[in-house]
Amino acid sequence: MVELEIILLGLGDAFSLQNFIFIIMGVVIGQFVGAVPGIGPIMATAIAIPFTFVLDPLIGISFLVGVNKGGTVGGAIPAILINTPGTPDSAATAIDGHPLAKQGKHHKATKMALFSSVTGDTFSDLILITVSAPLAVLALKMGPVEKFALMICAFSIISGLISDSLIKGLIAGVLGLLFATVGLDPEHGTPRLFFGYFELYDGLPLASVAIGMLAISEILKRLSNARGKALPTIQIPKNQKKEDQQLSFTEYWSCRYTMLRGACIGTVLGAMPGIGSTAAAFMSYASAKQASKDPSSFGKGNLHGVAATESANSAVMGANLIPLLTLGIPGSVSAALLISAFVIHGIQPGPLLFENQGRLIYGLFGAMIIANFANLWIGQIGLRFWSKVIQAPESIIFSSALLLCFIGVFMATGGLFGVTVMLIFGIIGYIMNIFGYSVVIFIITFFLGKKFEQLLSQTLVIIDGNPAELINFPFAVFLLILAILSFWWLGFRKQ
Amino acid sequence: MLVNRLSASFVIFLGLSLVYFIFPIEIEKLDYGWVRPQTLPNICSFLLITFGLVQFVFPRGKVDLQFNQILWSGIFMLVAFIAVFGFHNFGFILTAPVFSLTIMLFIGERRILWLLLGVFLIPFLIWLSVDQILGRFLP
Repeated sequence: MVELEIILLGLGDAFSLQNFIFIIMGVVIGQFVGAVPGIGPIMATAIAIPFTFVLDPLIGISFLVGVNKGGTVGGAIPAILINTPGTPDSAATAIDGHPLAKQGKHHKATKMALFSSVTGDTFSDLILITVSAPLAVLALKMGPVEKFALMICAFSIISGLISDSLIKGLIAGVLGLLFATVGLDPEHGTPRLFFGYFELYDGLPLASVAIGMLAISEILKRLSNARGKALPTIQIPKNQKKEDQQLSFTEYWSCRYTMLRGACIGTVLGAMPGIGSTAAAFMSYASAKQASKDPSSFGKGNLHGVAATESANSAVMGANLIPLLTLGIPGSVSAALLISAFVIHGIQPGPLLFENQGRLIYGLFGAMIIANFANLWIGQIGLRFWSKVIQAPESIIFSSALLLCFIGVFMATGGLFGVTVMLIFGIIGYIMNIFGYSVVIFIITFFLGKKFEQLLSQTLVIIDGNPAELINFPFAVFLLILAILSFWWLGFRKQ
Repeated sequence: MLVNRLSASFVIFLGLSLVYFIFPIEIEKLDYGWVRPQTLPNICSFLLITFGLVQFVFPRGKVDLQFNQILWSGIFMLVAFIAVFGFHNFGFILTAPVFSLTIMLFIGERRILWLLLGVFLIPFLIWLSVDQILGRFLP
């Protein structure tokens, strides 16, 4: 048990002026890179890690946490304003956020995104601080069979919910899994489907695939529609009603259960390594839609849709640190980057961390809470600033966004090969969009594909290839039944 | 309906080509272990063929096919690929302004101030922040 004195010392460190300044800097950079499609907090964190060498461990790690938290908020801004998610996890925000922006309620939508994001994040941080160890033990009790069943369940729910046709959703999901098999086979280390390009030994770069399919395909569509017009990126109607320009407390409070549900989903999924914030955002969106008295209004500009996705994807951030701090297992790409920052500073994440580095950990917890308030404060200014920027002509926004995508992927993948892959996936994403195959499902299954194959292998070893053995894993059976039910409910019944 | 059937046919064709032409060349077959290198790709192609057939028989879902938009997207994509070639051969400093100018002119931007901003200021800011401040290489 950590002594109270250590906790207070840690919190004191967090509130030092230097730490405070670096958290603010991190949040500002995070919101900026999150708001620019094609950059994102993951790449910004990767770039920033070398710069934290010279800093005190707490300050360095707090700075990176600030970048991550700021990036999550920033990602919602272009998703709402130009339907181009700054980060993959804000793709769900665009579903209701962009229709709101088109109705001239962009201030309302972005403010809802900011407030729900901070709410979800703070909820998740409080869970992290108070019950991190017991939750991590619970997550650890889920073996490969249960995790495999959970993935099947998540895939079936997501395929049925996101796409307007279940079969098209499933095809998109299978394509994502197929592309995830490129590179070394996780079981035997045999290279697969690399077509002579040794750069593909490690698989297709996630940054290239995600940015290509989400950002490039959307930019291409917007460019071809904008041709010859030189319009502002988004046309905000003049003489907007005052109530459309702001978010009232009543509107925020009416979404309290949606945000709470989203924060819970984000926290639970974030505590499980490998599921990630994108899946949390979509699952939260789906549950909000199902719980709503007016589900048909979702996708047409419902504030609950924005609140559900943003509270969930932000809640993942804090919960991701549960397995990282207690077990040393990163739950996401950003957690993996944070773990590398810990190691660089000579700190070994794991069960002994609370005992050996209690002061640092509680300093980090303090920094996370400060970062949330900084997000709220800077977000208020940032939202206004981005709303102005986004009114610039499409010609400047999209040519700059394209250049930033090029440079961002070049830096993330270390060469022009990654940029070429990005353009190819831009074409694939564009074609999939035209024919109604969801690129978001593709991205989710692509991201989880490698893990899925590993879990499939481990599951088959555990049950010795005999499906009847699953009876010994009741939670996995429950999840598989849930998958079949949701497949039927969301797929066939809906259609 | 017809377009949905066409896309389903492509999915079936993709699944079949993977099984018969691509996997035999690109995946080394092993005969031990529960999940072999070919297992998941084969499952995926089988599922693609199955779902493709279902989609062909019961075509569902929205399609947004606009030939003019596709043509212009193709042109913009060609410009992007030429830019990659330019980055590789001439570097960022020379290619980025030309690329931005081409895109902006294609969109229809003719206002000199915006053109100057997009062609010179944005690439300069990227160069300044990436190359000079962050100390990372640009193409």
